[in-house]
Order: sequence, then structure tokens, then C-alpha cells
Amino acid sequence: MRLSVGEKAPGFALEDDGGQPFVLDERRRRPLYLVFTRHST
Amino acid sequence: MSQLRQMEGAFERAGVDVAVVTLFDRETTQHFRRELKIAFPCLPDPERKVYGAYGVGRIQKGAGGTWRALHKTIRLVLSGAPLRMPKEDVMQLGAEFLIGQGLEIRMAHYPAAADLHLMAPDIQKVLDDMPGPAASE
Repeated sequence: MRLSVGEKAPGFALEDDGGQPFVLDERRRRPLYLVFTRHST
Repeated sequence: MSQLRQMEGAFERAGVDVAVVTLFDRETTQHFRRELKIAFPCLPDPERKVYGAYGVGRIQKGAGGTWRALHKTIRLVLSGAPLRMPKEDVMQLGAEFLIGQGLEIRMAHYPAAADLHLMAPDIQKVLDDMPGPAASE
């Protein structure tokens, strides 16, 4: 289901391509611009 | 992705972090990052669990995706670009979000087709519309 402005974004924990953890949760203070790639070109 | 690279300074000035979720495995994501010279964290999500959580879907049949892909392929052939058989899911769409404090979504962009992503002026407007640091504290 698509998310809308004002809704709460789902938190998640992934590793970056170097193996470092990346966590998005409510403790984050700086805004995050989150991009989901489509297929490569 | 070139739009994001172009906007790198603007994100910094606005105090906004950027992260890129990919549908590739780690190795392919490393190649993707090197190829496109991406400075932001790149997060492989090959099982597309986070894609699913954010409602980032695939091109729907009948949405014109096939014709757009054909048109794009013809343009590539005419420009002399080398053709290759795609290994990835060519029907996957992307999406872009601005997430503020408390995980509040301040902007959500779901393109109707694979090539309808936000351009630099659109991204700049999103950053300009953000509340200032005092307002976000």
C-alpha cells in the first residue's frame, strides 16, 4: 500500500554495500531523502 | 541518479541525509555505486522487503510501460549505445520520500512509469519547502 504525506514511514534496518548497518527509526534527528532505485539503465 | 549527484550540495546545505535503496545484491550494488559515482549510502534490498513496506511496486500491465521501454530501446539503438539483456526486474518502479523527525513523511513520490523520476528542480522545491532548523527542533 502506498504511503502518504503525514503518515509515519516504516522503520527498517539494512546494511549498506560495505556491510555497515543503516537503521531508520524514530531516533533519527536529521531528515532523510530516501530513494528507491528502479532497474538499472 | 544523476539528479541526486547534481543536488548533493543542496542536500548538505539543507541538512538532509540521502540514502539509496537498491533491488540488487551487495556486489551488484557496489558496482552500481561505482558506475554512477554515488556518494550516498547504498542499501541493497534484493528481497525487496523495504520496497514492499513503502508500497514501491512494479509497472502494471496496460500502463504503457512496454511501449515506453520499446521507445527507450529504439532511442538507445539510434544513439549507438551498446545493447544488453537486462538481468534485473525491468518492471520494477522506483520512488522517493522525504522523511522528517518522528519518521513523518513530508514528501512521497511514486512515478507511474520507470522514467518519470523527480528532476533537480523538483527536488530543490522539496528542500525549499522544508521547515527550517528552528522549526524542526
